[in-house]
Amino acid sequence: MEQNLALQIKNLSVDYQVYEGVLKVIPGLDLKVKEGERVGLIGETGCGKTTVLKAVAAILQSPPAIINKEVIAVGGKAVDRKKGIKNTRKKVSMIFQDPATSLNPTLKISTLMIDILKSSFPALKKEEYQQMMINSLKAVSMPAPERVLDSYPVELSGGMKQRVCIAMALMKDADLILADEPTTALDVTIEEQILDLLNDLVREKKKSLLIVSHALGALRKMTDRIYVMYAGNVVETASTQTIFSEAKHPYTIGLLAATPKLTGEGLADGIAGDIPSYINPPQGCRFASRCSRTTELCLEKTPPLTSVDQNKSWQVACYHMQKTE
Amino acid sequence: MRLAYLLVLKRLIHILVVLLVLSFVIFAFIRLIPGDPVRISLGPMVSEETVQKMRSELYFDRPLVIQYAHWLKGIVTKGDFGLSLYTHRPVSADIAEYLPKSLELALYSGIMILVMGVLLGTISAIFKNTWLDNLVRFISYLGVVTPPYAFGVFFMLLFGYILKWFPIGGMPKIDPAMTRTGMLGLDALLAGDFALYGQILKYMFLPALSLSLNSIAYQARIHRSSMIENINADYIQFAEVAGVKRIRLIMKHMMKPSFIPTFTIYGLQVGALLGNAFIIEVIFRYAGFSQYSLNVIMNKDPYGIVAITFIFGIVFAIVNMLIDLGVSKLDPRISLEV
Repeated sequence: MEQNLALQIKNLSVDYQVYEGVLKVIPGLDLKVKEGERVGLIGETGCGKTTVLKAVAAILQSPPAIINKEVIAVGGKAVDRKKGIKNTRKKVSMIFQDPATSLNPTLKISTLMIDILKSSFPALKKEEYQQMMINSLKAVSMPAPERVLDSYPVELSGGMKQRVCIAMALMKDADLILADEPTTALDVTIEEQILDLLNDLVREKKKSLLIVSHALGALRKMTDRIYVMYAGNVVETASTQTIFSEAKHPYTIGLLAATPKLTGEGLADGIAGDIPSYINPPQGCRFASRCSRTTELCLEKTPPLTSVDQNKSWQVACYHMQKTE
Repeated sequence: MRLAYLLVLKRLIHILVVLLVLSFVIFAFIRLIPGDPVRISLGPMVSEETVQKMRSELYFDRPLVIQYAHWLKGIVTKGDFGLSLYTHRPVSADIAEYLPKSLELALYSGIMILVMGVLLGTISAIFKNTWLDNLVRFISYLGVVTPPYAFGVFFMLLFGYILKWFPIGGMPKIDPAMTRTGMLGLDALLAGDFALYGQILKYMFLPALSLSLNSIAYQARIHRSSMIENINADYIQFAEVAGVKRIRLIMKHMMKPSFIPTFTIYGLQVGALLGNAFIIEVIFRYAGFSQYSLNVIMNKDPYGIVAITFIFGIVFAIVNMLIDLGVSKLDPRISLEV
């Protein structure tokens, strides 16, 4: 195990038991986040991004989720899940998709914040907690922090709630911040503010970040590396610059092409078809049914992640990555 | 807080209007029931003149509206609910004697329902789908489907007759000088007689338990499902990852929102306790308000019936008001509209 990793996932495999059968959502996933690195996780809805984050934070609901095999190491230490959930949780913080449902509607912000603070700083005076809470709200550029502390979540706007969530996630001494589409439920005008804020705080406090987002433009600005997921598999990973300029996997290329552009080139192209059924996933490459380069080999065997460059930082899972259209 | 006062005031006016309408309807209905209440009260041997005289005294020979107005005037000016034809005493004296006893029984039942229901529901939810949960659920099924009188008779047999842990029924005699509130237990406490209080609790335990078991079971099921809903909620996962301690997470973060449905149902259950106590009070020979109500209704005692309906209405209205206030305290999303 390398020491400078903030997170290492090896061969994570998650199924979901549902009425229709067993959904083999994540067949075996590897992922690394180095210390201080900001990593993006992209892919279309339903490809298992949130499942990965929840598995790391140890909050996958089981049932329906069944975690078959996993080695998740947080902060360079492998974690024994049965004993180590508490230790894992100490190392990670998570920001959820929808701030409207992430905050307990029946508790005041201050009540929730004190409860969070108490886990890291058990015995402080009331005034000290108060000061810490105000500082943490100021750090997320919250106007009138005293008033916010005395409010219920319902009295705050969506953007304010997500700021509160970010403040709460940064309260404990976690090395790794998980962000699950932190701006999806927010207004577009707030989106950039929140992402900028998150980015600044992560850099300032030297934390590592694993962020899921559909805002590709923002990810390009705020991440060092990107993992592209398709139907539970990582299909390509490389530095952010490489992904956006010379991606090799046909799915990555299609996904980037699907982003609408402001340069007036008309509507963006989508990728025809859907994510395959997880109940009977195809034996070979899960993208084969939607790919223009599909051959017999693709249908027979899942392509492994293969390194493209020398230092193994750019990996692609495709048999036909050299071809260009 | 001012909002709450305004709400209470508004509700009280509302209750008053409802009670006026209710009492008039009851008055009208009593007249529709066949049979002459005065004749029932005095018996078949009494002469027609005596019956007529009494009818006249009680305003039974006047038009309904006049009778109602007379009755209302009595309440407003003298707090007089009329004369009971069943006990031959003023109805208000009967209520003062019997109501506190039933309220005390309902109080202990209400406490049991809340504590036991929430406790069982919480255990069941936390240990969801384990043998413990299944056991609690099985017992609560039994509890919901078994009628209170069956519990009453069974407990009386088992704990009273066979095991002799509790008295079979009735109430201990209490020195009339002690009587202040009419609630036996409270009076004993006020007089500082703890031995007597203990004895009274012993008498009250079986009836209160039989009365509350249905509701405990129901409450446990409600609380279980609302807790489970909260276990899976985003805000619990968020708080968990953010570092809130497990015990605090359960006792505060899950418990508080879970209490919203629990508390609403609880209000209905408590409001219905007086009515449910009818048969329990008869079984345990507990001379309370429910038993009195039953006798009054059976004997077609007009002023008695109106008065007990009045009391039931008031109890329900007050309980409902308290529940509304409580729920708005629990859930800041509910704003009280005045």
